[in-house]
This record gives sequence, structure tokens and C-alpha cells, in this order.
Amino acid sequence: MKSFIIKKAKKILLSTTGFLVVFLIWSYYSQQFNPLILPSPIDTFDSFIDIYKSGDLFVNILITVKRTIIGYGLAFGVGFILALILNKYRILYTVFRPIITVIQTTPPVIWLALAVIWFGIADDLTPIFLIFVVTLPIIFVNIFEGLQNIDNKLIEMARVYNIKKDQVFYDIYIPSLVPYIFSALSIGLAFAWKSTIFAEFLGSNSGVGFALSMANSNLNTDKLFAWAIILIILMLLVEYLIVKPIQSKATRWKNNG
Amino acid sequence: MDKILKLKQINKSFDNLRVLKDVSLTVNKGEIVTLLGPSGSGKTTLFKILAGLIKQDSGEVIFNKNIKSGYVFQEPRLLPWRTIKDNFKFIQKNYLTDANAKEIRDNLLQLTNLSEIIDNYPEELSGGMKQRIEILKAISIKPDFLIMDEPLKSVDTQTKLNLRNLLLNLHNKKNIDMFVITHDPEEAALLSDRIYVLSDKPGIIKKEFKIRTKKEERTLKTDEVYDTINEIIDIFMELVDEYKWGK
Repeated sequence: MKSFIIKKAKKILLSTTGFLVVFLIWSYYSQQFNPLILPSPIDTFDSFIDIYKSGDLFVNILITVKRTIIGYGLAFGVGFILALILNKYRILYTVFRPIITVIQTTPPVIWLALAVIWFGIADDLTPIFLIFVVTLPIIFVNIFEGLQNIDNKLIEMARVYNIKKDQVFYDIYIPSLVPYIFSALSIGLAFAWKSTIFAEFLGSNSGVGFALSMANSNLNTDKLFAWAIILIILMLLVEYLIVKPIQSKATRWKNNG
Repeated sequence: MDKILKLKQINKSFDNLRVLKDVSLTVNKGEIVTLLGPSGSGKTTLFKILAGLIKQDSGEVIFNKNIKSGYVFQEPRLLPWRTIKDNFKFIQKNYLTDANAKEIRDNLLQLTNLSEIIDNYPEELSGGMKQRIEILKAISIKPDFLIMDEPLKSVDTQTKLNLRNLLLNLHNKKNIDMFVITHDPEEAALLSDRIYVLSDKPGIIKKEFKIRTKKEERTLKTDEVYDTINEIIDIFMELVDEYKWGK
């Protein structure tokens, strides 16, 4: 137990060292430049307090989180079902795979430009559309690969014992897909955040991305830094407090080996 | 004599490769029957036909309608993400009530001194233990008949002896009849009432042996076992490839 705690403490110390180094370099160089170019950590912290006191902090975070959840949730659901269908009907795979590749390779800025024309900037549709279109191929590709790698020997065993289809889905398909689902969730989530911020920055009038855009337009570099740090902390919290713990619980059979 | 299984003129090819040719055999009630053949003789193909995983090109597979069959695969097919208990439950659900299923699996694991691993995951067990679980899993649905594809392959000698003992006990005490597919003449001669020897490429039944010595009294030194093994080896010698080396 003691050695486990020491190991864990060492790991935390090492992983925070990088941040500390960046912080020290930032502190040093912020003394050398105009605050408009590089604000100091103290200026940034003051801006953070201002944002918090103004009430903008939680309003914008909630808007951004809501859009990310809806867009990403939709992409996950559609990507998952699409992978299941295309895995079962190979002719549909041949038809739709090139379309998915086109969606995947089209630069997000093109989708954003189209979304602004189609949906405008006033509501949530533009960011949600962009998240959906950017993350859908990631989800599809990962889940489809997972389906290809399902151990056919287990499926055969289930067939021999006349196991019902829903039980095969629950006991073989889903657990086999867990590593791929989490890989898709983790990679897709990073893209989802980036897409939300990108869409809000250029094609919305609310959310963290819009706040960043306002700070940028008004040359409030300290505010820009404060929002950027808020965003990074938000992304890390979601990854380490939600995604990783669920992943570790869902794959605990692997860690026991 | 009641027939448990009858195969009539089974043929199977994959593309242009003929794997099984006119394979006919029977398994009667109260018997352990072995199908013995070298690698590539279509043994696993026949197992898959019996398990309903693939269809023969021609011929008939007739099971006695009143029997329930369990299947043992060559390598353990356990769900890695489920504990041993849940692996049993996974296949028992379809055949037994929860209470009955629990009683049977607890009993089986106790008999084989494996009770303590019931909550372990397959990855935590040795290869031999996993193979024993594979056999117990097939028995846990209370079958009348076991169809096994090389159940003692790739296990060490001690595990092989334990597993063979387990199979004989199941046959004698639980009246489970068996159809065993193997490549090992010793295993066949020690375990079976009758042995069908299969040639390779394509698999054709070359000969049928009957062994009358009581199974539990057999050793490799028993005359009938010894003679049968030698006769089988003679058949296999005829199948040895001839190599024509250049000068």
C-alpha cells in the first residue's frame, strides 16, 4: 500500500513537472513582453476572477458543454448504428464507405462555412452540426474496426449453444467493442471540444469559443489566456474524472490478468 | 442398440479442396467413440458440421431427438470479460432454471476442486484449468452426449491424465456418451469403445476398431490397447508422404 502511494505520488509529480516548467517560462517571458502580447500569470488570474464575477464563466461553459454533449452524443449514436448496419450489409458498406471518407477528409472550415449559411449564428445548430460531422467518421471507423475484430470463435460457441441474439449482443459484442468505444470516445471527444470552440469562435454568438473570440477582437489578451486555461481545465476534468474512470471500470477484466 | 448419432455418407469440399469423402459412422448409447485422424484429415470440419456451424455438401447427420448435446472446442472458448461463474451462466441460461444451474455448476466445480476459481477471470487461470472449465462448461447444461474436438490437445501430461480421468468419470458416473475427435492414437485407445481411423486429404474412414477391455482397467501395456495403437500407426505409416529427392 505504501509503495503504491509513493508510486502514485511520483507519477503525479512527474506529470505536473511539464506544466510547472511551462508556467515558469511563461512567467519569465511575460516580464519581457507587452501584456498585450503575453500577459503575466497574475494578469490572467485577475481576468479569471473578472470572468467569474461577471457570471459569464458558468453560462458560457454550460452552453459549450451542452452543445458538445448533443453534437457528440448524436455522432456517437449515429456512428455506432451505422457501423453495425454497414458491418452486417457489406453492399451498403461499399456504397457508404467512400462518403464517410469524403466527410472525414473535408476540412472542418468548409463544414463551418456551410453550417453558418444553412443555420446562421444565432442558435446551437452550427456548433452541433460541426461537432457531428467532424466526430461521426471517428466513431464509425473505430466501432467498425471493433466489429471486424470480434472473436468469431466466441460467436461460434454462442451459436452452438443456441444463445439468443440479444444475449450475444450484450455478452459478446458490447464487451468486445468496449476498447474501441473508449478509443472512439477519447479521440472523438478531443475533436468534439475543438470543433465546438472553433464553431463558436467563428459562427456563434455564445459559448466559450465566442468569449474567446470577443477577448481576441477586443485585444484582451489576458482574458483570452484565462478562457484558454478554463477550457483546457474543463477538457482535462472530463477526460480524467469521467472518461478514464468509466474506461478503467469497463475493462477491469483486462487489468486482472 | 439405441443410436445417438448417425452420419451417412458425409461429403464436404472447400472450393476445389475435398476435405471429407463419404464419411459414415455411428455412436450408440453407452459408448465413447473416437474419430482419429492426422492433421488435415477434416476432423475439425466434421466437428463444425456436427455443431451446426457449417453445412455438409451431401450426406445426412442424424441425431437422436431425445438427447441434449454439449460441445467441447479444441481450445477454451471462454468470455474473457466474464468470471468463470458468468461463463457458466452464459450457456446455462438457455437450458436450466437459475437454481438448477447454480447447483450443477457448484457441484461440478467442487468435484474437480475448482470451486475457489469461480469468481476469477479466464486470464487468471492456467491453460489446463481453462481446458477443464471448457469441458465442465459443456457438462453444465446436463447433456446426454458430448462432442469434443481434440479436448486433450495442447495440455501437459499431468493435465491430460486429469482430464482423461474426468471424462471417464463423467461417462461412468453420469452416463454421458461421447464422440471424441483426436489425432492421438494413445488417447483414442485408452478412452474409446470404438475408434474410426480417418485418412488425410480427403478424410476417408479407413478402418474401425473395437476395444473390449474395460476403460478404467486400460493402460498402455494392456495387450488390446498396445495392439490397437500399433495397428493404427501401421495405417498412418501407409499415409506417410513419399519424398523424391533429386540427386
